[in-house]
Amino acid sequence: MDLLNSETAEVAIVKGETPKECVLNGIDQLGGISRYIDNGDQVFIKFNLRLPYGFPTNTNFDVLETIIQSCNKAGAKKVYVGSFPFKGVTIKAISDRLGLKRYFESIGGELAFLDNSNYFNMKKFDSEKLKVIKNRSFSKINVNNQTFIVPKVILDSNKLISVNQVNVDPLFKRRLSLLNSYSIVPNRYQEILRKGKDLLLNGQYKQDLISNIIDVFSIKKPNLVINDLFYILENAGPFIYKDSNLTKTGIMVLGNDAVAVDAVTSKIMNLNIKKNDLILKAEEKGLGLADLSKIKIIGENFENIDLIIGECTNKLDEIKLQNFSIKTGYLCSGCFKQAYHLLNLMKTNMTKDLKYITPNNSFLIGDDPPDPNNISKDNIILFGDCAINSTRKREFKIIVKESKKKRKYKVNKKVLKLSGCPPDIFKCIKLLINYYGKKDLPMLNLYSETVASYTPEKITKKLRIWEVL
Amino acid sequence: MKILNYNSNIEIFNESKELKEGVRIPLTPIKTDGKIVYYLFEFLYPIFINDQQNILDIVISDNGDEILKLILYDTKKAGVHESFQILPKDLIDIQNIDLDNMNDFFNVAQSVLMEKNNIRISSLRIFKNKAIDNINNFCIGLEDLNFYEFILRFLDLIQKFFEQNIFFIYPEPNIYKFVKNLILSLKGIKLNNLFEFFEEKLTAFNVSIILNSEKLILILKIQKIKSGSDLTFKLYTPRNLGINVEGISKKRLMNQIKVKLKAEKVYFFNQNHLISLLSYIFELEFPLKIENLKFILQKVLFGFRSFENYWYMVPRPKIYNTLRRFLIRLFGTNLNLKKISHWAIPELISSSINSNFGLNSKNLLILTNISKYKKGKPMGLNFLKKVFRNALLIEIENRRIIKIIPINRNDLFVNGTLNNLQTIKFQISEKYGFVSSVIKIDSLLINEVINKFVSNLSKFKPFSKLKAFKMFKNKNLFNIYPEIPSYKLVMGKGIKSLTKLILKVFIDKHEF
Repeated sequence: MDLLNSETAEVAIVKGETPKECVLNGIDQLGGISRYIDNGDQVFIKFNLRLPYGFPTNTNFDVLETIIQSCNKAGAKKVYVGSFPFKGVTIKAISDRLGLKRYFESIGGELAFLDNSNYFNMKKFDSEKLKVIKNRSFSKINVNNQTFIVPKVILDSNKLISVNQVNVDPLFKRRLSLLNSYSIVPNRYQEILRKGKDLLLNGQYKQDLISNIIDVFSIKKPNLVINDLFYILENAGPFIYKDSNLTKTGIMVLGNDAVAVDAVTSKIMNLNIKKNDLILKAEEKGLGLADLSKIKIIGENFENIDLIIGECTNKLDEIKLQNFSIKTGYLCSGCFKQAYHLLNLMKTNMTKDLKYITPNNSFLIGDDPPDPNNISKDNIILFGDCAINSTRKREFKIIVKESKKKRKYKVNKKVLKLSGCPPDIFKCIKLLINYYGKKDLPMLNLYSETVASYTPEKITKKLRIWEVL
Repeated sequence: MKILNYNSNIEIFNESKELKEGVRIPLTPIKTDGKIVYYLFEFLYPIFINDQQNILDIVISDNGDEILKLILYDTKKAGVHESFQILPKDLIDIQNIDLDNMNDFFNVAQSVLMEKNNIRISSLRIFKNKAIDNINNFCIGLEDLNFYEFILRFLDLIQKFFEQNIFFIYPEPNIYKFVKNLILSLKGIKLNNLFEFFEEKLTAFNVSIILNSEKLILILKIQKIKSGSDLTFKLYTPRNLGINVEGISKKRLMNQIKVKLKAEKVYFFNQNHLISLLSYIFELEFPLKIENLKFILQKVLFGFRSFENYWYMVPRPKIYNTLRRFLIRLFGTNLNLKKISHWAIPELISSSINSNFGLNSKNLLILTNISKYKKGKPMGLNFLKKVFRNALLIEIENRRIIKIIPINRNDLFVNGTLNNLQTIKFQISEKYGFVSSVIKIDSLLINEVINKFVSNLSKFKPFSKLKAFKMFKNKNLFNIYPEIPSYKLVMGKGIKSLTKLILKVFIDKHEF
């Protein structure tokens, strides 16, 4: 039976003592792996691979191992695993830091270097050679008048499996499988093309993002989808922050329809599916079923499951930073998301620094933000192009020095501009260190040096060249 | 019996009529003044065990269905055992006792004793017959043991009590719960092996520790003459040493003790501070949270930085000399141990563990002993196998250490292939699930760290300390696979710039 064309969306809700047991239970409930993998198939497993840090920043590797081994048992010819990571980080850097290449080889899989970063360190590899390799490894796909480049290894695979670690998310509340699919394209193609104030209208950034996600998802729908809720990162996520907590539910949701799997997952997590624009849009485009009455749900009874998960804050000023006051104007989801991550990073990695820096610091974000508390004394950080542009003529931009004879106007050097739409977090960190000085931000400086150890300038440059090619 | 007799007559004893013979602290070979033993029980028992009077000891059969002996201790003051009476065995019915939940049995025992003996007990101590046999065996030749041998035997006894479930206290004091949970979580790792491991890392030392309090000042003398099992421990009061503490300054007292006991160093602490730290430690719940370990480290570091506020030392370490520090500062290094950042260091360690290893992880810790292996090239096929000593798999779940599993050497090494950390990681991952990291550390490095950064942290020997720091870059002594970002940073930076980077975090700029 061709499951992709089948109208029946089947979703299994399973419990287990361990993640491995849970995923095997789930596959069994759905009829076994042979229902999805045929002998001789090339399989691509799309998992979460974001940063070179521990669980749950990335997918649970025990779960991945189980799926790879199951695919091999079903007679798969080749099992690739991969994903595009966080912007500015290469797959090779993560693989080296976590020992992934050799690990996947030892369990019967192969890590796909989708960004070709396995070539970046090689000698005599100039941009021309990189271009040739890139052209060889990607196909251009046109969806809704937008061109995406997609790795051939994904397109050419007979079967696609999506394994998604469910964590809280500041924009979408939960990172579900539809969001996981987005990183089958390079980071450059994940960026929203529209810039500027237009994004502020009616949540345009989020709408554009959702459209993009749906377009990418439609390129290749997964045959088997696994939402791993066995452990969920709550309170602050999807990366490990100071306020983050890991909660154990012991549950996984698996199925043959990503939209259905996400709908059922949302239901058991007490989220209102009707308010989930991503799921609704996917259903509207005919990419899957979100109506629970039309989904065949097997395994545990979802009426009996009621998971209460601590949400990410949806107000930036609720992220309490010592000696900082956060002033928000009208902001789009893009800046909200980036600011959320930056402020949480600061809270997690600057505990000592936040005491050292002067007590008066204002973080202004969004269009037309309120003025800082103390215009003359505060260090003022303007986050994002909207904040920078809308405060051009504000009083705090100029320092007035009055003497007996005349008035002098000087540019306020205490204003730091973190430009971008939205700004890049790693760049923001470097600018903050330059602004306050390494002496006053020893912990952030140490964190920045640690990040630099896996994003060395030489490699970052190559990545930028590759992305532009 | 001597102690019971002393305790019951403590009020009539005066300075001249005190016991001229020393008494042994129960279950130890430590002979000391009767006053000290009385004080220890009077002071420590209520804090750590039970602060109410009267204790009932019960000896039961190994299968728990018969009472073999009932002993009632009458304590006018909590913890001070004065007299005892043997009660009839059939006084209390032991049928259906649930040793894991003794609340009902305790209530029954309490009401029976109230009714029959008009005495209210505050706690029960239950020993299975096997426990009594173990105690009796423990006591054979106890007086002749040196301190090291005593510690090994005592740790073994305690471990047996909890592993074999043969000793119970009700209500359970925190120290009992802590020790029980600690032993059970070690999953068979012997406490005495751990003690031996750390003891052999210490070089020879001769220290005296003054534990100050308003009631009674205690003086400990701990000495290790050479490497091996030659560890001695003695306990005194100032009066024992002929020192009059009336109106004496701390420095003078410490100098006098240094001379009397011929100690290299003398430390001065307040008993209450140590009790407070121990109380916090005993309140820890298992599985251990990394957050709780962070708080303990905070307290220890805060104590350390409070030199000359909360603790003192003679001779005064040169590192605290202002001129010396000023000169070091001129070279760009701020080394003020009085401003060691007691909160930033644990915070940094905890957030590094969380991000690098994850909130859930399995980490394999391998201990090697390179000094025992002299032949062969370091990268030889069997090198790791030959220098291997121990391995532990530490499992963390949501920032709690939930399992510590000793790993057999056979599980680690594959015959006929190059055994390195990578192959070990795959081997162990096959059996136990994905292993996040393998950390290899050599005994030589642990020796250096303990001696340079723990026992002699205050000693002014910058080059020797830098040398110890540099040893972390030697892959034969310390290695992590895969190379986590923090480790990669350490390996990629020069010692000077790394020291500068880290000291800015480790030393506070201002007093908070």
